[in-house]
Formats: sequence, structure tokens, C-alpha cells
Amino acid sequence: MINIKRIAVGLSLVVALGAMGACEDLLDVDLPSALTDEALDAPEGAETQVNSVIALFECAYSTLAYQAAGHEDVWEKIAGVAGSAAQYDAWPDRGDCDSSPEDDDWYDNIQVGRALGVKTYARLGDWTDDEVDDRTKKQAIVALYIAANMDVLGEFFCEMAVDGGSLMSATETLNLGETWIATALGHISSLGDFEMPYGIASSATNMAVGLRARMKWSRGDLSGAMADANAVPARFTSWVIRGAGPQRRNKVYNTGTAVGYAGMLDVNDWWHEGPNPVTGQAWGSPIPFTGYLNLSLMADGRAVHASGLPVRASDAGSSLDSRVGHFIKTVQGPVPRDVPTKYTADSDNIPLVSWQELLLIKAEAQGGQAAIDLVNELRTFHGLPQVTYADAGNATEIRYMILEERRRELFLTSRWWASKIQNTDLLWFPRSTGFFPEQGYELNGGVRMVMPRSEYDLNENFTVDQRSTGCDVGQRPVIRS
Amino acid sequence: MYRRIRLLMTLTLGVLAAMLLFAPLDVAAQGGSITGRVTDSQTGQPVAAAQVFIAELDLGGLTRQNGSYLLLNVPIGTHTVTVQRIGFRTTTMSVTLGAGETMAQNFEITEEALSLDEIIVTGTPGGTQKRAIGNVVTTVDAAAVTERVAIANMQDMLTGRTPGLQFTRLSGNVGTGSSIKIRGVGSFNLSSNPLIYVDGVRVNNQSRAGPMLGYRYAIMQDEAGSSGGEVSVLDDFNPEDIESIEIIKGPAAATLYGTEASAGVIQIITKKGREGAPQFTASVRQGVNYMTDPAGRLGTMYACKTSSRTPCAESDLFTYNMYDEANRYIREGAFPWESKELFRNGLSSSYDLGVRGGTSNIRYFLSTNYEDEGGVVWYNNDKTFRTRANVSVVFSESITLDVSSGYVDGHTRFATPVRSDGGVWQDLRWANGYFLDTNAPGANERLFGFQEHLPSDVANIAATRDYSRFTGSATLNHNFSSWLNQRVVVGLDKGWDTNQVIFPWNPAPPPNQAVYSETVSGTIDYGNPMTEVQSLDYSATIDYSPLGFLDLKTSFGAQYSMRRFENLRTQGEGFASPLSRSVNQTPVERLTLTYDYIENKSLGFYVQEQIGWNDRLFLTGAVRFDDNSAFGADFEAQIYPKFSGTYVVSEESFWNFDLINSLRVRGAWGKAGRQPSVFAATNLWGVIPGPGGTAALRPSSPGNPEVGPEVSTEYEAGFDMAILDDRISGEFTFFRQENKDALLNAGFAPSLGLPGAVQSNVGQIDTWGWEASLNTRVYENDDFSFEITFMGDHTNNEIVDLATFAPTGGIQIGYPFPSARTRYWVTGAEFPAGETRGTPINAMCDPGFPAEGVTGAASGRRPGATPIPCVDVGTDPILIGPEFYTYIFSIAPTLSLLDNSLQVFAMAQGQFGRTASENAAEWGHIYNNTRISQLENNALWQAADRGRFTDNRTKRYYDGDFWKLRELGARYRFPASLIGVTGAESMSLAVSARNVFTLWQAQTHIYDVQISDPEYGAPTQGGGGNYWNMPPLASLHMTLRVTF
Repeated sequence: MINIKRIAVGLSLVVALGAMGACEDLLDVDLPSALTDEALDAPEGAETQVNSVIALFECAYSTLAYQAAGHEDVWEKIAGVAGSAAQYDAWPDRGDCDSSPEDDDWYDNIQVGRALGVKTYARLGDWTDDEVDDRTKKQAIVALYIAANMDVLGEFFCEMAVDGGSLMSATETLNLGETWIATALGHISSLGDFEMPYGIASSATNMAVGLRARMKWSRGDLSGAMADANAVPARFTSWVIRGAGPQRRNKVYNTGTAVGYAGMLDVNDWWHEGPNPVTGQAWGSPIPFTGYLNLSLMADGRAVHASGLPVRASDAGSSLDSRVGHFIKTVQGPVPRDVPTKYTADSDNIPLVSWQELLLIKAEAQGGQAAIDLVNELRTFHGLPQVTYADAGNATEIRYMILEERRRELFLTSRWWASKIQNTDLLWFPRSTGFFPEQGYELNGGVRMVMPRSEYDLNENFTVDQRSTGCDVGQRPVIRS
Repeated sequence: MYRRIRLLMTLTLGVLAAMLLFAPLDVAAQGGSITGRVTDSQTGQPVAAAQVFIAELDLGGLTRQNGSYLLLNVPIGTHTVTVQRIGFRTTTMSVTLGAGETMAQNFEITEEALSLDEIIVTGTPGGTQKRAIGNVVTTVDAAAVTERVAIANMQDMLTGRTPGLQFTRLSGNVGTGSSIKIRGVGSFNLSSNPLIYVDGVRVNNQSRAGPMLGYRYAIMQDEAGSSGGEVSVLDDFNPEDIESIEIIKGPAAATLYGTEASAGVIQIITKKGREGAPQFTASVRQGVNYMTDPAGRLGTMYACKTSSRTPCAESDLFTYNMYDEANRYIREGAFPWESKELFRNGLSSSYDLGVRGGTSNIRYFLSTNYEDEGGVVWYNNDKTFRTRANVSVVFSESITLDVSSGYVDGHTRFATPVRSDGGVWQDLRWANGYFLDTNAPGANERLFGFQEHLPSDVANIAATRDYSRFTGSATLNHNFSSWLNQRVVVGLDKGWDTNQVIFPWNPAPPPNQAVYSETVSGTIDYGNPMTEVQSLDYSATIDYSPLGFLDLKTSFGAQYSMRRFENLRTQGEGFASPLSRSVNQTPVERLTLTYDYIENKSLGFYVQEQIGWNDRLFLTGAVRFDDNSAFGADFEAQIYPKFSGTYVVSEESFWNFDLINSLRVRGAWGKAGRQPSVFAATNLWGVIPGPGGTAALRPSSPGNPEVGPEVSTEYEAGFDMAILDDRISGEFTFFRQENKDALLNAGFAPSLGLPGAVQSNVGQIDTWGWEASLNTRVYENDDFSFEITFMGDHTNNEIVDLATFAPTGGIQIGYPFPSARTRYWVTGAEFPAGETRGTPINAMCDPGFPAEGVTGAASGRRPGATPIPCVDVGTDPILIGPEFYTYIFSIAPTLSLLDNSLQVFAMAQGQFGRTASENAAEWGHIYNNTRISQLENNALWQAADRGRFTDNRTKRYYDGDFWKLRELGARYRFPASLIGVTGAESMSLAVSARNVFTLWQAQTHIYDVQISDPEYGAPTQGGGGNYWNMPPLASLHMTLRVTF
């Protein structure tokens, strides 16, 4: 009996150990709903990867436009039971920006799209023309979108890092973006100009050059920006395209019009918390260059008073500015709100490079009568009163005119936020809105963002103490730890 | 569905009838027989379900409800008849049977306090005597519990009967369930749900089934990573079908179950057939579910006569109660409502019919059950049909087969389905009394003061779960001679659900077009989750006694299981018509499809050696090897060892302490694990909509090829003791767990472009505590007895290591998990340090803001106040307390009268140590229906309120300690003289109430906000908060049970 027992135990151990060796087959699982890294290895999937780079940027930019609206003093968000404000924040929300119409997340998709773009560009380089149709064209498109991502990272942040690398200043970030523009243009020139897919733009060259104009403008190279702007023909626009449907949310549309989570605001008249951090001067009351309700134009084309306050419907003799339309809509809660008419469907595209912005860049670069003429070119396009009031020799008046024109012309496209970054001595920033003014109290100045805290914690090349050190004082956010 | 239920019931009853017709033919076998009754020596009452057997003949059966038994075909000669029953001392008697003789032999058996000979299911074939197990294993005699008190779900069954086991009571939403934790939380990210086995096979243990309910942040994620509901699939099983439940509490005991067993194991043993003529048991339960004092739970509400905004002058204040107002509106017909009051008494009924019987070769247990539970709002109900068929076949002396199968089919409509908010309860809690006057400026005249929806708006939303589930097992036992016992178990547990949440197309009249903030034209969320668990288990035990006093048992085995989850979920927006109720009636371009498929496989082997000395001292050593498909490619298989020892010292000859008649000491050390999530080891890419309608890719979660299981190491020590001739008995166990390699989500620098985080084995949480139970027979004689059972446990934990993980939020070394915390600390002398929970709160800080120039009343802002001096402790938040109960006690007195025919019983339970949260208090600033928030004249409140916006959440925390009367009831067994005319063997009537009274609660208000219930809502471990869910309900039931 003892022998039998020993044999049985011994056999069981042998069987057990043998079976352990065969575990891998027994433990193979079928996971059809999951795609792994292998999905990116085949050149047949190149088109999908290019589309992915485009989609990730579009998704992020759509949400950025909504986030920017909060930075631009456009509206008060009243979502949910409490109503948090669409307000200035010191850092962007991470995550998948498509998960909900209320989400403010966009930063990850910018970085994910950029990183995927870089890897896709490298893969396209490794593959051959026999393996991938239109390989060079795909390289150009990917390079262009990498640059677009870099533009966002350079325009709105104090400092930046890519691929876990060292800190870069905003200028360095934009310069890196311009190198990708150059890469894209190199591929485009080897092919000849082509139309961007999916109706994004009629010309890849114009999209690249227009985007570069914006980058140059952002880093203060007005003459360079004007040169590029001049190279882009009139009426050219490249789009962040949006398909209809819940998975391709147009946050600006959804939050501003469709669902009605946000209501537009009138001229700010209650902020008294602190002085302008740059000038040290107290803000006016009301605060200039704020509010989007009932914006109007005088018959002489005046959009802004000498005080910086916009012309409103209450000003005698004015007429409404059709570029900043709004209507009353009942949303959550008992009080109907004013919501914008900028986007009327969730398939409405958002301009990425617009001829209007390029025109205003040129106006800013030239100043004087040229600026008035360029603004009037816009007014003519819209059928609005011509500017006749302005003194071409009065630099302040011209500056005010251009700023107010940018505010209205580029409404809900994220571009006014970029303007505010350039004009911290004059423009009010930030604001705090909603039911809870306390939420914004610590944000006493600063207009750029810093990267998410996790970047400073997890990137070995710098520390959290270096947050916002890349910003000038006037552009630096106040960060609560 | 009801047509299907009727069909199934008809079929089942047909099978029962067939068994009734044919079974007598089987039992009419040849040979001598032994018959008699088994009674309790102390009470004289019959003892049902006692095993009466002749071991050497492998012949036996169970006693019937009246204690009678019958052994047929007993060979001529002298035999030793043994009677065993859980909780009684084993009794043997020698019986000599002549040719053709029917021998009458009655037995009186004596209740045993410690039940050391009870057979415990341990994972090895045939189970193990309790005396040989070095761990504490709690056994609940489920059949006895259901016979005495109405049991609607597993929480009812186990609460107060199992020290060391906690439920998170989420709500009074009928159809939802509670998650279970055994010995607390030992993991940051993985489920603390114990493994569940039914008749030896592993089954789905999910506690987050069903559609997404209530506030989205309350919802825990299911294993697919998407939001889940609040249904515990453990409640699929019919309590009436369960014979007993064994709770295996920690890694030291659960080693043989391997990976995933760290959180303990619950073994459910269903009723089996027994030899003899068919015995039917029918029971009918009727009763109500209701909310105790709903108006009182809201408390006195305050509003201002002159404005919806605060502050209000004291002279303008008035009081109201929105529950009373709602009832007034219903009486006036202001909105459609199908009950006379807002909350009704929800009817609760259950009908059970079971039969058990069989021959010496085939035994069966068949049952069918229909249950209909109603909630307090008229549209909340849960209807379930269940059937079970268990058959045992004795092929030969050495081979038996047990087949167990259960099927459940049901439909639930839930009470709180508003997606982004709470439901009816929230609209009451956050009512604004100013708008009771619907002509008041700013009033939404259709809301009558309700916060956001009318109750009828909520009732128009349909959140439902239709579910079917099959659980089956086949167990083949083979006893080779007397030394080898081997067993093969094959099991399948498969469930199919259909979850729906429908917001109808329901625009409000102008100017308030929106009824729901989520949608005007309607939405539908439709999913078909399927969960499947397949298992195969082989195990064997070799029993050998080389010397008379030495018994060696060598066990070994292998377990293989496969778990699969599949869900195709469709969400649509924009119905074509107000009548639309299905997903095909939304436009295609507004449909969102998600598909989840998860498969996980595990394989484990174990070897165990048990050494027994004189049946008193037992030493056990075991080792288990585990591999799992979720382990990373770079991770080797896991090894879990265990050792245990137990010594029944009171059975030694030297034991001369008459006071202590039984004493067993025990100790155990062992390991078990928790597996990482299925995709933890793999980089995954998700599909997102690309430009032009194409598909695009986005990295969805990075993988860690080195990821392995969390490993829990536990030691426990304790004793079982009975004194004064079993008059007082109890047990005590101390345990300590080291939960190493705890998985934490380690993120990447975002600039790497890899969203999400990888699970890394870097943390450690230590868990410790004790469990105790004490039963005292205070007085007993033939007609009257009184006993009290005390239970208590203590569970706590602490984060002891985070390795490279940067502390964040509640994950801080030295803190319990989960915990309530604050970042700010008041330093002013006017706010003395001390207790931080509840009132007064001293953990807050606010720099203040100037009153001057603040004109925000129109947008709901308060004017400023004096700053509260404070320190900002920055990234090391101050601990307020654990968000789980650390001490749980119960007291259960039982009074037996009339020769034990009448039992009156109660059970009170107290829970202590939890920092609970009442979100309605946190938001009281906006929904100003308290006196303090209306007057804004309380400095602490102001500071706490402002702190809410600076990550200081102390305004919502309170002391969650309480005592509740869990059970109160009486059961009467009709005497034989009364039921004799009916032909029934036994009949009983039980009346029981549950949760009818909160005896005491440590804190009733937070800054004037009434705490609606101290118990429900665990913010991080199971969702919660106290405004979006119904408070837990009370119930009152009457059960009539007849055996014939």
C-alpha cells in the first residue's frame, strides 16, 4: 500500500509538473475585441494610421475649441446639478475627449496623435512605395498633422516636452513644429501640391504655409507671419472636420447649442479680485474686451469704444454683429440662456487655418491704414459697416480695432485665446464664472497652461518645481499644488 | 416573459408530479428495515435532515421534517447505526436485525456547541472534518435560517451571522444588491469580491451587473472596463434551495483555490435528495417592503418666502417637507402617479415548492420558485422564476454521481435611473421650497418645487434588466477501497442579460422644453452581456494509517477554469417618435456600438499532506501552483504554500478542567492571490471614428509584460471553546494579512503619447483584525429556553508600501484604504482640534474672499466672510478616517416557548468606525433647504462650504456609526395534533421584520442637513453618496411552510 501511495503521489507530481509545462497552450485566450501592437506592423494598415493621426488631432482640437471658449470669456457652463464654470484652468484635462459631451479632456489626444504621427512617419519611411500607395503623400499629411499638434503645444503652454524629453520653451516647441512644416512641404514639393483628403483643404501647400504663418505670429515673428500669410490665397480655409454622430463630438456645438450646457455671458462687470498682474492697474468696471451678448457695430464701423468696451446693442445707432449671433434656448434649470449660433449642427467643421485670421495677422503686422483696409475687406465679405472712424495714425485705436475684430471674427475657434496670450498688458485674463466664483480665485493672472502634473512627476528630465518657469510673468498661471 | 415563466412552472410541476407517481415503486424494495425518529435530547423536537447511516454498508439517508427515518434493505445481522447532524454530537447505536424484520429504533441526539465533526468543503474530495482544519470556517445553516425568517437575498442570509463579512448596502432600490467583502479590503484596484462556488463549481461572482443606474460617478466599473450597475448576481440563487453556506475567510484558508482567492471563498451547498418517499415542502411568503419614515429622513426643510437665493432673513423663513408636499400634489392630481402616496408599501411575495426523495440508488431534489419583490416607487419591481434539479446516482459502492442544476429567469425594473443625477429621492432632497409657489419669479412652473424632475418624469424612464442563468455541475466520486478517494467536477455557469435604459422623447411645454437634462428627443442604452464560467476540477485523497494513532491524508488535484464575458452594447439618440422604445428607432448616424469580449483562463495544481494524530492533533501542509492567461509573458507561474495546525486539547486524557468541556486551538499560515485584469499585460488599441467615415486607431491601454498576481499572505490563530457543558460556547480568531504586489496604476509621462497607465505590482496593504462569536444558553428546560448569540469582528488595513508609486489622493503610506481625507487644516484657536468627522469639523481652510463688491447673489453666490486661518498641507492630505466599518457587532436573542414550538427572536447589529459621507450636505449651499444654509450665519458651515471648492470635502463627512434592529420575528410550529388532519408532516408560520428600526446613530445631522440613513453609500468601494439612491428599505413578512 505504501508503495502504491508513493507511486500515486509521485505520478501526480510528474503529471502536475508536466501540465505546467503545457500551460501556455491551455491558457491561450481568444480576445477578438482587442487590437494589439501587431495591428500597426503591416503596411496595408498605413492608410488607417494616417487617418488615426488626423482623427486624434480633430478630436482634441474640437474639445480645445470648447476649452478655449472658457478662456475667452465666452460662456458660463451650467452642466449637471452644480454648474461648474467653463473657465480658465492652469492645466489641461487629460483623457479621451470623446467620452462625453461634457468632458474637457483634450491634451492626451494631442500628445497621442503627435507621438503616433512620429511613429507612423518613421514606419512610412521604412516601407516602400510598392507596399504603400501614395506613400509620399501620406508622409506629407502625417508631417503636417504633427506640426498642427506642435502648434497647439507651442501656442498655449509655458513649456513643453515631447517623447519624455527635456523641457522646451514655447518658442522651441513652435520651432520644432516649423521643422515638421518644412518636412511636409518637402514631400509636397516632390509630388506637386495636392488636395487634402476628406475635404480638409483644397491645397496641402496652403494649409502648411498658413499654419506656419500662425506659428510665426505666435512666437512674435510678425514679418515672417505676414510673408507666409501673403502666400496663402484669399478665401482659403483648412478645416478640422467633424462627422455627425455622438462619437465625433463637436464640443463647441454640443455644449453651446445642442445640449445647451453653456450660456453666453455679457460684458464682465463684477471682477474686482486683483489688479492686472502685468500693469499693476486695477481692472476697469466693466472690464474691457469681455462679453459676447448683443455685440453690435456703429454705422462708422466702430466695434469697440476707446475704453475697450465693445459696442453693444444698447449703444444708440448700432446694429447687431452677425458674426456673434445668439438665441434664447431653455436648458437645464429654470432660466433660459443665450446660446451661440456659430455652429448649428454637430457636423459643422471648425476652421484650422482661416483666411480671416491670416488677414488679421497681416493687419497687425502692417498697422495704420493697411490694417483698416484689411479689416474692411472682412467687413465687406460679411456685409457689415466699413471702418471709417479710425485714425490710421493712432496706434492704440488701430490695436483696439484689430483686437476686437479678432474677438468677433474668430469667435469660438480658439484664436482669441491666442490673442490674449499676446496682449496680457491690455486684455483681461483670466475670468471666473458660474455659480462658484471661488473656483477661480487662485487664478490671479496668467494665460498659458502648464503640462499636466503627471508630466512633471514622471518625466525624469525635470521636476515639478519647474512648472510654469517657461512663462513670462504676465503669461504665467497661478497653480495650486 | 410571464408566458415563459408559466410554461417553465408547468413543466417543473409536471416533473414533480411524475416523481411523486414513480418514486413509491422505487422505494418498495426487498429486505429488512430499520425505522424510527431522531429528536433533540434537550428540546424533544424532531431533528430534520440528520444523516442516519450504517457506515460499513454505505447505507443511509436523511431524516424527514418530523425526524423520522427509514433504512431499507438492511442485511440480517448486527450493525452500528450512526446519526450525524450539523451542530449535534454524533451518536451511534448497535442494532441487531432479524430476517424480514422491521426494527424500530429512535435516537436522541445532543446539540454540540462546537460541531467539531462537521464536514467542511475544503477543496479536497469528500470534505474535511472541522476538527482537522486549522482555519476558521463559518458555516451558515441556510435551511434553518430560511425556515425561521424571510430571506429575500444573500445579504439577508449572511448579515449578522458571519463575523468578518461586510456588505456595502447601496440602496433601497429593489433588484440591486450589495458587494461582499471578507476581512476587508486588501487591494487598491482589484475586486474584493470573494470567489463563489455552488456545489463545487466556480460561478460568476460579479456584483456590478445590470444597467448603469443613478449618478454615473457612483458606478464601479465592471470587468470590461465599462460602467456597470448595482446588481449582485449572487442574488440569482434561491435561498430556499440552499442547504448551507460556508465562508472561507482568507488566504490561509483559501490557498487551495489559488489565484483570485485572496478575498475569500463562499461555498454554497444546495439541497440534495435523500432516500425515501417523496417529501414535499411548500412555502408561501407574503409581505411588504417599505421605507420607514420618509418624511423624517428628509427632516425639516427650510425655504425663504422672498427669494430662491440666500441669505434669507430669519423672519422670511418657513418650513416644509417635500415628501409631504409631494403627497399633497399627488392628491391634487398635479402629476400622474400610480400609488396613493409617493412611496407605497411594495408588495413582496414568494412561492416555493420542492420535493426530495429517492431510492438507495437515485436521490433527487427538485424545486421551483417564483418571487415578486416590489419597491417603494410603483414602477420598481423584481420578478424572478427559479427552478432547480439535483440528482444523485449511486452506480456502485465506489462510484457516485451528483448532478446539480439551476435555472433562473427574471425581470427587474429599477427605481433610480436618471443618468446624470439621482432619481426621485434627489428631487425631494434638493427641492427648493420657494418654488412651491409656481408663480414665484424664476420658477419652472411644471416642477412644483422639485429639484429637477417631477417623480412622474423619473417614472417615465425605464431602466430594466432581463436575465437568465444556468448553473450546473456534475461531480463524479470514486472511492477505491478505503484508501483512495477521487473526484472529478465539471461545471458550467452561464448567464444572459439584457440591460436597457430608455429616456423617452419627452419634451416639456415651452418655455421649458427640457424634461431631462440628458435629452429632449430620447436616448436608449441597450446591452446584452453574457457571462460564462466553465470549470474542471480533479482531486484525489489518499488516506493511510500506518499506525493506529496516526492518520495520513495526501491530497492532490488540478483545477482548470475559463471565464468569458461578452457584451454588445448599443446606444442611440433621437427617437423617431414619442412612442419609440427600441434601438432601431433612432437614426443610424446617432448610434454608438461597443463590443467587449474578455476571456480568462487559469490552471492550478496542488498537493496537500495532512497528518492526524489520535484524531486530535492535525498538521497540514500544502502547495499550489498557478498560472493564468492574465499573467504577463515575462511572469512565471505563481506558487502558494500553506501550513496549518489544530489541536483538540480537551479530548486529551490529561484534560481535567470540567469548566471547559471543549477546547480546540488552531493556527494557519498561507498564501493566495488576485489576478490582474485580463488585459493588464498587453498593449491595446481601440477603434475610433476616423475622417470620412473611416476607422481609426487610438492606443487605449498600455500593457505590462511583467505583471503578476497580487499575493496575500495571511496567518491566523484562534480557538474554539465550550464551557459549562456546552452552555456557553464560542470561537475567537485573530488574523493578519500582508497583501503584497498590490497592483497600482503607474502612469506615463503624457508626452510619451501613451494614454492610461500600466498595472504594476508595487504596493502593499496590510489587513488585520479579529472575529469572535459567543453563544450562551441562558436558560433552558423542556418547555422554555432562552439563548443569546453575540458576534463581533474588527477589520482594519494600512498602506505600508508603495515602492516607486508616487503617493496620490488616498493612496498614502500609513493610511487605511479607502479613506476620507482633507488637504486643509484650520489653525485658528476658535476651531479646536479634535474629532474631524461631523460637527464640528476642524479640518478646513479658506483664505476668505472680500464681502465688499461681491454681488453674486443673482448667480447664487454668497457674500464673503472672515477668512479661516489654516495651513495647506499640500500633497500629504490629513486623514479623517476609514471609509469602511472597522467594528461590527451583533446580538441575537432567541426565546423558545411551548416545547420549542414557538420561537421569538431578534437580531440587532451595530457598525462602527466608518467615516461616511452625505453628499446632500456637501451641496447644501446650492440647494438651500436647511436653516443654516438659508441664514448663512454659521462660521463653520461657511468655511466648510467654501472649502468644498478647494478640495476640502469635509462638509460631507460624518460619523457613520449606528445600531439597527436587523431582524425581529417569531416562528410557530403547529403541533402534530393540529396538522394531523391535513395530512401534512409539519407546518410552521413565521412572521419577521427586517431593518424596521434604527436603534441609535452617532450623528443625525451635518450642519442642519438630515442624514437620511447612516448606512448606505460607500463613496469609493461600491459607489454611493446619499442623495441619488433610495435609502435602504425595511420589510415585514409572513411565511407559511408546509411539509407533506
